[in-house]
Amino acid sequence: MVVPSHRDTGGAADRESPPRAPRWVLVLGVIAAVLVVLVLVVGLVGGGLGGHGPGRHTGDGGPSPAVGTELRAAPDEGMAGLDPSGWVH
Amino acid sequence: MVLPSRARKVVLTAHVSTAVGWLGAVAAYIALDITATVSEDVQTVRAAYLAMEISAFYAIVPLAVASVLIGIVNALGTSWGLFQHYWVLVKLLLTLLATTILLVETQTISVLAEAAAGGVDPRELPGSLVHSVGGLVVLLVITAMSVYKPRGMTRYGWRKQQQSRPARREQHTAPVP
Repeated sequence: MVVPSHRDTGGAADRESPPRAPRWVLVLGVIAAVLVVLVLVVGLVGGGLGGHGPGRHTGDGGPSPAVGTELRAAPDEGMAGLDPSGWVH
Repeated sequence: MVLPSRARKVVLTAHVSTAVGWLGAVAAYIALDITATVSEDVQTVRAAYLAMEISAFYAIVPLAVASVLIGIVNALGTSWGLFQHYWVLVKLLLTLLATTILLVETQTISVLAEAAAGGVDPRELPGSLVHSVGGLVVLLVITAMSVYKPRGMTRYGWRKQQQSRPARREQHTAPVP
């Protein structure tokens, strides 16, 4: 890491009062606030914040062995298609 | 406490390696995530979900945690400090945010891998592209911030600098013995 020079302080060291936050920090803060609001709105519109998490992706309450059981079975009937003995022709 | 030059370079090397490694691991994860989302081949999709879980738990999470911890040591070990400059502070906050979301997301990744390994059609699973691409964007912002180091000193940094100025002046004006 490069050692900070006087230039990096933006002349703050010469001031008598504390420096104000630079413009890029304010812009970043506004973007962050907009994103937070967007996530909250999407969460509320999309079935409430309680729906956010692992269960949201699989349709049940969370991680469990029964996860995703409402989804249709794979055409190859689960892991049977991964049986190496069936790969030899 | 500012570290000696040699120790600082060791810490900086470890920090850059883990941070860039994190970025690369996320890029590899996204390749698997896209495969899991768009592929029509059941076995390919199933394998992608299982590989996503392995890469998340054994590459992304360890690199993320190491990057955060080494980054904190790196900042405290230089005269930049951790809370004195906005770019360091914003980087810290973004890194902590990304790590927190990652740790929460690992539950979803496990659930998806578990479901894909079960008897369901893995093509019905939704993937995790929104989170992984969002994470990549945050990591790219953090990387750019490390390179550009945008100006701006925090109030705390300004106060620290003001406190150290009289001491420096005294050193400069002290008579030579």
